[in-house]
Parts: sequence; C-alpha cells; structure tokens
Amino acid sequence: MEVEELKSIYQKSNKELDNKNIEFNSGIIHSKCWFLKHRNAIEGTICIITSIIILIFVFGKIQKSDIISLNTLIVCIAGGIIALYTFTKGVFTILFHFKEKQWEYSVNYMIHTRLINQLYFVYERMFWLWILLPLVLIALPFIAVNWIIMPEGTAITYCMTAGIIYLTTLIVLSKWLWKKRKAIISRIKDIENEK
Amino acid sequence: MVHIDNKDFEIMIAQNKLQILKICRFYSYGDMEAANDLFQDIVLNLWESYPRYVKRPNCKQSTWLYRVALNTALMQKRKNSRLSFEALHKENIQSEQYNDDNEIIRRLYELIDQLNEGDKTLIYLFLDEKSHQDIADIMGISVSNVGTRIQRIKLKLKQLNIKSEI
Repeated sequence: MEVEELKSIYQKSNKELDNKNIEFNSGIIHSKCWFLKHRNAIEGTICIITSIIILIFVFGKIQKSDIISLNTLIVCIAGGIIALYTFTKGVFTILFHFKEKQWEYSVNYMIHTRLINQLYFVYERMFWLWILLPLVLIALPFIAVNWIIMPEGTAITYCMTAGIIYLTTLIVLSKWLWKKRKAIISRIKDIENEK
Repeated sequence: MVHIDNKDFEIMIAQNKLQILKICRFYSYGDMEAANDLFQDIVLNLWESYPRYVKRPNCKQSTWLYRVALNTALMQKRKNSRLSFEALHKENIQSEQYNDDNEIIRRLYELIDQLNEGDKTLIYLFLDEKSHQDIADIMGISVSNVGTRIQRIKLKLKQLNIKSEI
C-alpha cells in the first residue's frame, strides 16, 4: 500500500474522534498531589540528606577510635563509597527533576535527555554490580562479627557461596549492561548527529 | 510574574482539542480509556508550561502545543500495550464502518510500535500532514534531515511489514 493512501486512511480513522466526549477535568490542576509532582526533587533531597548522615556516622566512627582496626577501616571505606554514591544520585535526581519539567523543549532534546538519564541508570547499575555489591559482601561478615558469634567454618562457607553467586551474577549482568550501554550511546550519537 | 488567564487557556484547549486527542489516540494505540488519561496529563502539562509560553511571544502556538503533547506522550510509561492492541481490535469488530481500513490502521500501529521514540514521533507528524518545516521545529532537527529520516522510516516500515508477513 502506498504511503499517501495510508495517510488518507489514517486521517479518515481520526474523524470519529470528533464525536468522542473527552473533557479536561480541571480539578486535576488543584488536586494533583504536591508530593507526586515533586517526587524526583524529594527523592533527590532524601538521598543528599542520607549521604550526609552516613558521612557523619563514618567520621564519628573514625574520631572515636584511637587505633583504627581492620573492621573499622572496612566499614568506613564501604560507608564513604555508599555516601558518595547516594550524594551523586541525589544531585542527578534533582537535576533531572528540573529538566523533566521543561515540556516545551523540542522532542529530540527531550529524547536526548531521557537517553542520558537511562545511560546514567546503566552506569549506576554497573557501579552497584562492580563496586557496591562486592563491598557489601566483604564488609558484611566484618560487621556481623560484632553482633553474632560465628561458628567455625562459617567464613569459608560464606566466602564460597557469596563468591559463586556474585561471579554468576557478574558475568550475566555485565554482558547485558554493556550491550545496553552500547545501544544507548549509539542512539545518543545518532541524535547528536541529526542536529 | 505573568498573569495566566484561565479563559484564554480554556479557549486554546477547546480550539486544539482534536489535535491533542489525535496524539492521545496514536500513543494509546486506540485504547480510549488510556487516551483519556493521557489527555488529562497533556492538558495538565500544557497548563504548567503555559506561563513560559506566554513569556515567549515569538513561539508558534502549534509548535509549543505539539512539543508539550508529544513529550508528555513519550514520557508516559505505556502499560499493557498488548491489551491496547486488543482494545483496538475490539473497536474494529464493533464498528461496521471502515472495517477494512481499521484493520490497516491496526497493522500500521503494530509496525509503528516497533520503531524507536524519535521515529515514532516523526511518522506521527508525517501522517498528521505536518509540513517539513513544522516537523523540524517540533522535533528540533534541520528541515533537510526531516526528509531523509522520513524516507528511512518508510523503508524500515516496509522491511518490518515484509518480515512480519514471513
């Protein structure tokens, strides 16, 4: 079928829209929840506040102990990285909140912004997979040792189980994330070339 | 501070209702319930963006309206798309008029659904008989690029059609 023919069929199919009784419910303007409208800004602020709390906790722990033990060091490094991650996430979420609201920008610009945001999420997942997850897995037994008495052999079982599960996840997800990253970057480049 | 006149806004929406509804129908794949939800979201975003539009007298109303409506449609997360296709199919069976045409439209929607967001928007504007200049303004690309991309999308749709027939 020719495109012009398709166009006219499409136009004809839209004629019935004249009879559709859809009206704007003006109550929505006032009733749309403030929290829902500013969800991203609130999420971003919470992230920044959380990162500050974590940093205060980490620095407090360092200041309290005269000699820094291996336990404290690992907990502090893990805490510091998590705080840095949470802070970055907070800043990006707030920035996205302001960009997202600019509905009158060109469609290509909005798609570009969305792709950059998707790319950021891919990098975030990579960061979780490659840095945060192993850090948590390493730090967990050191934190647990303070609260629970570990029976002998637990460490070896934990290392083996956590290691196997982590490595499997790492192989499967890394490949998927890398492919996704490549696809998004190529689409971003396409959009940039079209300008 | 710009004073927003509710009356002006309401008149503008009434004048452009059909344009907005067409976008809603296209991005909801004929599911009128989803189209209604999208319509509310679009008008809400138009209302939020209206003060910025009023501040820019050089901005063409149709360009602004299309940009806001299309960006809202693209931003909304499309849930149960398969269900929407079913709704469209149901609508076809119920309406006695244009039955064959509706089947073609359903097929067209299925093919367009396989395109990326940008191509989908461009083909919508093309089907809506917008000029290349208008498409370029709404999309934020050059006029020469519009023609090239439309040709490329037509070819892609043809290939997708052949693939699905096999």
